[in-house]
Amino acid sequence: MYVKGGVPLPRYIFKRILSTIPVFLILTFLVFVLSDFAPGNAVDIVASEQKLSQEAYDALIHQYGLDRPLLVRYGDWLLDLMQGEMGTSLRAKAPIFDLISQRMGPTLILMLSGLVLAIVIAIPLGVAAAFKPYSFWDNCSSTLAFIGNAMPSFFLALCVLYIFSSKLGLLPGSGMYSAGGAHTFGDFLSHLILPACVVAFTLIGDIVKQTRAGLLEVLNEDYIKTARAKGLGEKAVIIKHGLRNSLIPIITVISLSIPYIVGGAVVIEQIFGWPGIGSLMISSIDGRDFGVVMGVATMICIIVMCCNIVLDILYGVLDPRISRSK
Amino acid sequence: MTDTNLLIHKESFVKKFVKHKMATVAFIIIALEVILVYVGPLIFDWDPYFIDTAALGAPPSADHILGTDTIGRDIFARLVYGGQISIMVGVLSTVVSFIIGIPLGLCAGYFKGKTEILVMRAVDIFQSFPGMVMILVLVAIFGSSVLTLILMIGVMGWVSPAKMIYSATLSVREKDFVDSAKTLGAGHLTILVRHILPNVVSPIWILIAFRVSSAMLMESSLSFLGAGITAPQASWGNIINAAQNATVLVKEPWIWLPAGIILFVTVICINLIGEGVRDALDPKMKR
Repeated sequence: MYVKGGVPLPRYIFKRILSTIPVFLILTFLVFVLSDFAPGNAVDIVASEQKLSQEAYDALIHQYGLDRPLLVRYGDWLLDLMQGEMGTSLRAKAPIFDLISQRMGPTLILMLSGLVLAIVIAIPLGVAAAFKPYSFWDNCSSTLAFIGNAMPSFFLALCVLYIFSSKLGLLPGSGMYSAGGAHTFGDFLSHLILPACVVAFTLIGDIVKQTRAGLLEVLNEDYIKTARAKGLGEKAVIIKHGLRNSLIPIITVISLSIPYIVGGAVVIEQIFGWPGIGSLMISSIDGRDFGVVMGVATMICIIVMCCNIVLDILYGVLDPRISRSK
Repeated sequence: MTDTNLLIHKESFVKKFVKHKMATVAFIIIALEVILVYVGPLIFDWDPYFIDTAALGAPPSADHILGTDTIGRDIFARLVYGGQISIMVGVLSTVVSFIIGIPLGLCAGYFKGKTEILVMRAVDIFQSFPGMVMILVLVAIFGSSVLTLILMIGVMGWVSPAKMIYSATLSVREKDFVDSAKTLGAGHLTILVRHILPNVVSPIWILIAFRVSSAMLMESSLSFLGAGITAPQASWGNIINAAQNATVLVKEPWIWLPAGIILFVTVICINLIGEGVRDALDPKMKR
């Protein structure tokens, strides 16, 4: 796609990716500095297993390069990271990168299905609300949005677990597959429903509000009046002309909520025993396995940034003015 | 502005606020809750640490009106003391957020240039990383106490007041009275504090309630995960923590259900107060 007199889309995408690099460097540097404060580096582990003299200890510190300046070690760490090398977990005695990559899939599935579910529910609700402001539907959807914002996700998770899993016995409440059962898709889906609904519920409020507000604002624009004057039906006006143009603020709300989805997923994974990076993080904190904690934090950094880049590209596609102006 | 003017202004604010009926009810609920939680223990003899070995995980009864937890502590007493901590963390961390966010937003909007770029970049960074995960990492390394929790949640919350103040400052700095103050030789500090701050501060009143409620949600999530307020101290989040045990979740709902409901109701009420304040201060922003 090349817009005359503007920046072509591939270049816009490239620029967006470039501009997230400093943010990534600062965040990972912060994580690295923090991990430096964490008790128990590789040498301390060895020292705890066998008695070391001060000289032997210093020699080991030197051998592992722990006496070099912070920035040099950060550079090495970054290079290792790019090659998928994150060190070895103290507890699991396995490469941290492998531990995390096994857990990535489940987390991404949970986040994505929660997000899609929220969008599928919230946008029609928001459109219905904007269609007739202050009507019964509008009040329903704004009440739902209000409750969704105030409900602590962990309490909601416990409630649905209590009601649907324990009392009614409708859906399984723990893990990703039934223990001992065959790993079928149906079994997987039944395990996914409850946690995905909880993720979705926490997001619905903001998306409904933004859809409603954005649509109401757009509906006052001249081109909407033109569309109406052309004799287009109200539905076509709202969905074709209104919704399309209010998608940008909706995407903004979604991109701002991604850190919340990731943060919330930690709690939700923990409650539902979902084998993602969130529950890995909590168990590593409990086991004081700091290498893994840092690895997960770095991975979360990467996920959030990738999501933001994807959404930024969507902006550019939806609104050529944005990609052209930069 | 004379004193009488201020009085009239305040009176009309109260009148406008009371018009929002839900917000008024919410305000009364929160006021009663605060009195119960902070004044109640001074009058009555509620002990959140006393272990009643005769009643381990007992359902509600005459002795323990909301029952006891798995090690025999009175749930009602723990809810009251937990409320003290949860509300305190919510309010004080909001104060911390504002102490950081307001000056940064003011400077970014007023000085522009490098300060603006620096602050806005920091906003980007804080916005693109989950505060919850960052606090989990910090707690894993440094441990947690009420004070560190207040500081961490406060620091993670500086972005929204900063952004709000920043955009308000951008428009106020172009006003004539700022120019005239400059011409009269006022320093930057005087202009910022005496002339700009009073004109940008009203959106902050609206933000207070929403910041307090989200800080309380953050604290309770962390305490629920065992990374916030830890036993023997009580907080609403760590009372609910007991429900991670499947037996407690299914067989002893009186342990975790009341704390969850109180947290939910409190957050709803605080948000309603926020809406009431917003409608009273700025009718244009009404939905």
